[in-house]
Amino acid sequence: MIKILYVADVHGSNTCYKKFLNALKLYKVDVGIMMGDLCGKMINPIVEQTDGTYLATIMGSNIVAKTEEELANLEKEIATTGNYSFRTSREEMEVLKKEGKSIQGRIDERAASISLSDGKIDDLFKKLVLERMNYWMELAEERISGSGIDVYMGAGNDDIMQVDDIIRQSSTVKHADDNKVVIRDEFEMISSSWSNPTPWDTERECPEEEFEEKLEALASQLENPEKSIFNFHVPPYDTLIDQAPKLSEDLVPSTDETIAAGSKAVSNIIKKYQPLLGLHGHIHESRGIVKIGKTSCINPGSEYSEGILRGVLLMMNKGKMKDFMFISG
Amino acid sequence: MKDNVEVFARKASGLTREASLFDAVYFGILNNAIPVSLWFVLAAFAWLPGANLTVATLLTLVLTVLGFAFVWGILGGSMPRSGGSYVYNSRILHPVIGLGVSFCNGGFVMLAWIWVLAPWVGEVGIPIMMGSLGMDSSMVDWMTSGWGLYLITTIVNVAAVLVVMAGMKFYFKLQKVLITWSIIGAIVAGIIISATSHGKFIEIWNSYATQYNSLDFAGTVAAASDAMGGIPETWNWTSTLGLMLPISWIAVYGYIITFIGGEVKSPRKSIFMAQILNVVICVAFLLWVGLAYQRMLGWDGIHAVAWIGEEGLEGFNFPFEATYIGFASMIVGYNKILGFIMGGAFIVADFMWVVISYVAWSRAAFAWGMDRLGPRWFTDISPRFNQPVKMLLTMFVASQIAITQYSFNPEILGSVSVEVTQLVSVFGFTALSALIFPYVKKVKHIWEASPYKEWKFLGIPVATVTGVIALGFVVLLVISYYINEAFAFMHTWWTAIYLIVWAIGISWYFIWKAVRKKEGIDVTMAFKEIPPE
Repeated sequence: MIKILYVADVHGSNTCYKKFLNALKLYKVDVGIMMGDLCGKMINPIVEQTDGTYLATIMGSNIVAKTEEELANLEKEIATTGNYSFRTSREEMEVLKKEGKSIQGRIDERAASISLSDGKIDDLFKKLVLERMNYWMELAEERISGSGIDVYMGAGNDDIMQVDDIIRQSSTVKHADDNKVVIRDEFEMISSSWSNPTPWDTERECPEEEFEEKLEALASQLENPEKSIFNFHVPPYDTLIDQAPKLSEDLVPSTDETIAAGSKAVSNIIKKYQPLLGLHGHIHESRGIVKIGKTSCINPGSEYSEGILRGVLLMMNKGKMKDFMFISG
Repeated sequence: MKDNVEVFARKASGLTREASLFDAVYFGILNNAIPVSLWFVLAAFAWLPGANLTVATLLTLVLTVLGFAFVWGILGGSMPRSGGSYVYNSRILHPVIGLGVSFCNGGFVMLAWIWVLAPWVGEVGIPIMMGSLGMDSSMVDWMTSGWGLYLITTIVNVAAVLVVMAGMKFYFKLQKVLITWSIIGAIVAGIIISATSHGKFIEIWNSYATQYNSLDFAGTVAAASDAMGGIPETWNWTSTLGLMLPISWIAVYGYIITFIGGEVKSPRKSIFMAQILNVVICVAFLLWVGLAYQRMLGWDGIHAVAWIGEEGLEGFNFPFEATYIGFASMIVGYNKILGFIMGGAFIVADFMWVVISYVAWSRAAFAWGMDRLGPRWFTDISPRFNQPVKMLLTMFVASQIAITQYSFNPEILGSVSVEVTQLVSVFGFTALSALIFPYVKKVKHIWEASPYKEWKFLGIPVATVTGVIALGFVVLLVISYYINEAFAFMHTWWTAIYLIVWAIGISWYFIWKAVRKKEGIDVTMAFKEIPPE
């Protein structure tokens, strides 16, 4: 039997990533797959004050760090939530703020004054994102190398393109995106980090027709589609696992109306090829499992900002999915 | 206080605006079924003579806000995408307890709510509607018990299942329309009652009494008092505490706000405000209409009409039910439009509660299925309906058996026992989770990431303080249930039922654990603590 742990949408959370690595051994899996939206969404600047202390705002609360130890804890707390910390001065903050566009809004559970990135802030983001990705690859090397566990990682629509290069350079983690891999000489897996259009003009999104062409190109590589795994970040359209809160024109989420945020291209490809499994993420709230014909499509959900790892264990045997179990730890 | 440090967000970050607080509050109100709750509270004077509505309401308000609202707010805000009490309790207490609570609530209590609430459409709602339209409600006596009640209830039950199978989009749209209707109906009744003085009411009563050859107001009160064995001259604590049970219907069920997929939660804003405002608004409404009703009827009158509504009275020959809707309709001379709005308000609100029970059951069972604590088909979603049809049909079959029992043995007070069962299981254990949340090692990292970790009262985490208050409130309500004679006939049975259901729930966990173990699956891994470093 081959045991697979699948997780998605960790959004830069150091805690969730470390839990993923630890979970591979804890659950005694053979294969670990982390797919989609690896990058964090925000930078929490830690600003040096005139009295030598440092000040940051986390989830609306001002936190003051007076010692190096407190600073390290603060940075760790920020990293747990998936954000990036950045020590800076008041002067530098003023320069950076001028580069961004101040708005009021919310990302996941945080209501704060937010500056949308542009210019220098964009460069800062790239730097911090890639630093963390490199750190993650080092951790994988340290903890998984030689364990006999195969680890696959791929980006999602939110992730900057440079993330792929970092993963490809790893000697321990295998890159899963826009390619076909074979898991344990048994299950072909094709992966895609792309998505259909979203309200946020993310890094990797395209119209449905173009998306379907990309997926078709991937699927055409398969020798045995019915025994394959479709590792597509975006879930199939209008199922239990793609329901997202409906947004108004000015991005106010509804409390009771949901819309299908998944992809019709993904649905079409799954219906056409009927793989064994569809592994998805993208919609954090829509944890679940549905069937499209003979294909079981799974979204493990995400609670990354609380440092909770959501995933699904898949027990594969004799070319089939024997069983599954959702986990959260 | 230092200014907030601005954070930087990537453009492609999923940024949204804050969800509307009004929407969140309204979402909670949708679950309170105000016309039904109102009716139940006012009817309670029949079996809780001498209850002080003001004291009971204010006590419930304070304890609900400081207890339940804060508990659900803190847990929901700390784990906004977790999916509710099943997960809170599994993580903080133990998966066995999490499943026990979920089994008791999602499984048994939801079935029990259908058992008692579905029949109320025929037993209570339709007679009220008939009366409010100026038609003789005795025409529908046939549907208030026996096969008639069974027929009407089956229609309601089938309709409820079909609503859920039609999909969540349809459900939410229908809920908004029907519950808005129910709220308007309750407001209309409230305005009519508020605008009618005690003297004016007696005048109207007596004029209709002549028309229907019924006792005048004074005569009715006297006859009801005799039948009741006397109306207390003043209020007492036993009945007042007992009244907190029906009042809780209108106060606590807004907790459903916690399940709104993480989209209204902000560390210090929407989730708390929505939970608290929901309670305040609903309870304020009850206080307004309830006190206006009591003023209109008088102390003796409110007892007398409650008694009549419950037991009937020889000499009371009005063609409508002795309820606040019936009297409001009488006051406006059976205006058909107002009568339809008010009478229909009860029916639609009650119906939606049946529908909600199906939704809650299906979600609970689906969650167990995902954790492999149930048969594989628990996670089956019909591709045609996009709903867990097998689970819905399972509940339908079980509920039809249950409503058969109710139809031939109707007992409105059974709803109080159902509520107590739910309070102890869901609210009690969840309160315990909140109480110990800051101190449990296995969820330390969740607590450390919680926006409420700095909230302290006299040095104690507010989560703990509010957990204590909520737990105390549950204990108070349970004591109220056991000390009131009105509920005594149910004590033995329902205590036994509660223990049996919990035993089944815990057994369910261990049975499926053993079944899965044979298949090579360890279900304890579903909530296993994973080292974070």
